[in-house]
Amino acid sequence: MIEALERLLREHWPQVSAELEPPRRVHFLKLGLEEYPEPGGAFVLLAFVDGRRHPVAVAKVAREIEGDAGVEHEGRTLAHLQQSLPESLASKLPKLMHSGRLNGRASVLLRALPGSVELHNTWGARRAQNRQTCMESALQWIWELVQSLPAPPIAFRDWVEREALGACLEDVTVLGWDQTARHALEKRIEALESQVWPAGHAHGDFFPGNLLFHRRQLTGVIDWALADARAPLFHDALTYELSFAVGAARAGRAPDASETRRVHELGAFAGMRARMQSVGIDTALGADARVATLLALHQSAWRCGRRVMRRAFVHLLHAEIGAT
Amino acid sequence: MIASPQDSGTPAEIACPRCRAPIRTRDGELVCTQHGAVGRRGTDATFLFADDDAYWGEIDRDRMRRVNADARLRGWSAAVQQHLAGTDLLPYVQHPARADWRVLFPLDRERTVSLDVGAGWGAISFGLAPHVRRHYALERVPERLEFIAIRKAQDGVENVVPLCADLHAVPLLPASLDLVAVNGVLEWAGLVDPERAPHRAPREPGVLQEAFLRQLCLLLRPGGRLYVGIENRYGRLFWRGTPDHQGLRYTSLMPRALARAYSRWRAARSPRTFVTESDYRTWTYSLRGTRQLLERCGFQDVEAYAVVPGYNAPMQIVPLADPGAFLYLATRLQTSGLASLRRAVRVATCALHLEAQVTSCFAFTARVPDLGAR
Repeated sequence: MIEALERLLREHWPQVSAELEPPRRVHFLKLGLEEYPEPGGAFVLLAFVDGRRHPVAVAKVAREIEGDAGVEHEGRTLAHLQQSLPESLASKLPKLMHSGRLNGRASVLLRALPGSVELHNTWGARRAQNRQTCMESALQWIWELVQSLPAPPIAFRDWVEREALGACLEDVTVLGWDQTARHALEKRIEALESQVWPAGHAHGDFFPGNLLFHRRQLTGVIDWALADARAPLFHDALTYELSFAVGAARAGRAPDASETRRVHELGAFAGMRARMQSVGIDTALGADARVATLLALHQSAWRCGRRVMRRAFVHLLHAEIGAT
Repeated sequence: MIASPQDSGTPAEIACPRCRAPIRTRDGELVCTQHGAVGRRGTDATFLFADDDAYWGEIDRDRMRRVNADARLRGWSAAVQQHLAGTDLLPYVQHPARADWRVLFPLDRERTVSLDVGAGWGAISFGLAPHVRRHYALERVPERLEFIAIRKAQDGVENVVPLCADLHAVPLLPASLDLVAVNGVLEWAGLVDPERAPHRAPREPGVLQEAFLRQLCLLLRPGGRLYVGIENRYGRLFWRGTPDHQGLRYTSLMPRALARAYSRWRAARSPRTFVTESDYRTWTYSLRGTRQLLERCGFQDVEAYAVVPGYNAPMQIVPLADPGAFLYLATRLQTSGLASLRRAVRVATCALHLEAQVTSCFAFTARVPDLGAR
C-alpha cells in the first residue's frame, strides 16, 4: 500500500507544492491507536517525512469497512472547504492531493501543514502566555470559518438523533446514575427538543489535539472526519472548551475547573459569546448549549464505537447536570 | 475414493507437511500419496496436522479452556471481556490495529494469499483477513486454534483457514504464499527441535531458526514478502530488567554461552511454556544480526523498522534507515519533570544514530528474490 501511496504522492505533488522534489520515501507510520485498548479505531495514518524531519504529507487509510465513511467524508469536506473558503482560512487546511480507494478501503492523501500539535495540558506553567496566544488564534479562526459558511438554523432534534439519545441514556444506566440525576437529564433533553439555533459549518472535533501551531500561531486544523456542514454555531467553541475536562472524565475523575476557567477567560471566547448573542443565541454558551454539545459529542463517539469517549461524555454530562 | 482438494473444500495451498506434495481428503483424513494420512479435518473447519498435547500461551491451559467454553456459549468477545478484563491481554487478543503493518505490503483482496505463523489468539489473522483473498492462521496449540475457529465462525470470516501444525513443518505448497507474518515467533523457533534423535542433543537454536526461515522462503512465491516482529537483543527493555522470553532477566544481553549456563543454573519456569527450562534457546538478535540472519536464509531487500511501544501494540512503525523520523518523534515527547530528561536522552540517542541499536522491538520486511534471481 505504501508503494501505491508513494506513486500517488509523486503524481500529485506538483499541484500542492512549489517545491520541485517530493519527499524521498515514507518515513514513519502512526497507526491510529489513540483509542487503545478500545477495539476498532477508524484508520491508519501514514506520515511522509523528508530530510527536514517534519511530515510533508500524510495519508489516512480506513482500517476496516466501518472506517470508510469517515475517511471519505473527510476527503469530501476538505475538497469542499478548499473551494469555498477564502485563502486566509483555507491556508490552515491540509491540501487534498488524492481521495479514493486502495485495495478496497477508503484513503486520502494530504499535504501536511507546518507546525505541531501542542496539547495544552502538557505545557508547563511558564508557558501560560503561549497557551493563551494559541487558544486565541484557534478560536478566532474557527469563528471566522463558522461565519464564512452559514447554514439554515438547526433544531436540536435534527442535530442529535433519537437513537443516539437512547444510547446515551443506556450509558447513564450502565454508569449507575441515581434516579434523580437521570430524571434531571431527561428533563433537560425534553427542554432542548424545542430549541433551534443559528448554524454554520463545524469541524466536529475541534480540540487542541487537532490544532497545529508554530511560534504561537495557528498553522493548521487537521482531522475533518467528523465535520458537519450544518451544526449550531457554538458547537466547535464548546467542544474546545469541554475538551479540557475530557481527559479527567476519561479517567473517571471530576473535571478540573481551573482548566475550563482558563478557556472562559480568553478574550476570543468572550468575543465569540458576544458575537453569538448578536446573532440571537441568548444562551449560546450557557447550560443548554453545553448539554446539547455534550449530547452531540456523545453521538459522534457512539457512531464511531468509541466506548471510552462515550463514558467520558456521560461523566461530563453528570457534572453539567449537577452544576445546574 | 479420493476426492480432489477442490471437491472436498480443502484449500488449494494445503500440502503434506513432510514432502510438501499436494494432499487429498479421504473420509476426513488428509492423505499424501507418499506418506499416507498426515492430518485430518477437524471440527470448526480446521485442518489438523499435529495431534499431541503441546501447550503454551499467555494464560494456563485450564483458563484457556474456560475461555473457549464461554466463547461458544456467549460469544468470543464477551468471553475475553470476562476472562481477560483488567489484563493487558485484552488488546493483544482483539485489537485490529495489531495487523496495521500490513500497509507496508502491496496486498490485493482478489489475489493475495497470506500466512500468520504462530497465530495465537488470531488478532493479526483477523486484522489481515479483510485485505487478502485467503489467510492461513497456523497455530500449534489446539486450544488456541479452537479459539480462532470459534471467532472465525462467529464473525463469519470465511477466508481464514485455521491450521494446527508445527512451525517447522508448515503444511503448505512451495511458492504458494504472497505474505508470511512471523510476529513474536522467530525467537521461539529455536526452543524445541522437532527432529531430535533419542539420546542426542537438540540442534542449536540458531540452526533451527535458520531452518524455519528457509522453509518460509520456500513457501513464498518469487517476490513474496515476509514480515518479522521481534525484540532487539540489546533493546532498552532488556537493559531495564524486563525478563527475557524464558523468564530470566538480562539473558539476551549476555554472551550465548553465559546465558545458557545461567539458564541451566537458575532453571526458571517459563512464563509461556509453563515448564522449567534449563537451556537458553529463545535467541533474539541485534539489528545487524537479524538482518544477516534473514539474508543468510535467502531473503533480500531487508528493511528494518522500530515498532513503538512493541510489536504487539504497534502504535508507531519507524523506518531505521534514516534517523530523521525518530528525531521528529523524540522531539514530540512530553517535556515536564523527569520526562524532559528522558526526552533529552532520546533526542541524543537519535542524533547519534544509536536509537536503532537500542530500540526495544524491531519489525523487518523482506522479499523473496524474483524468479530469475532465485
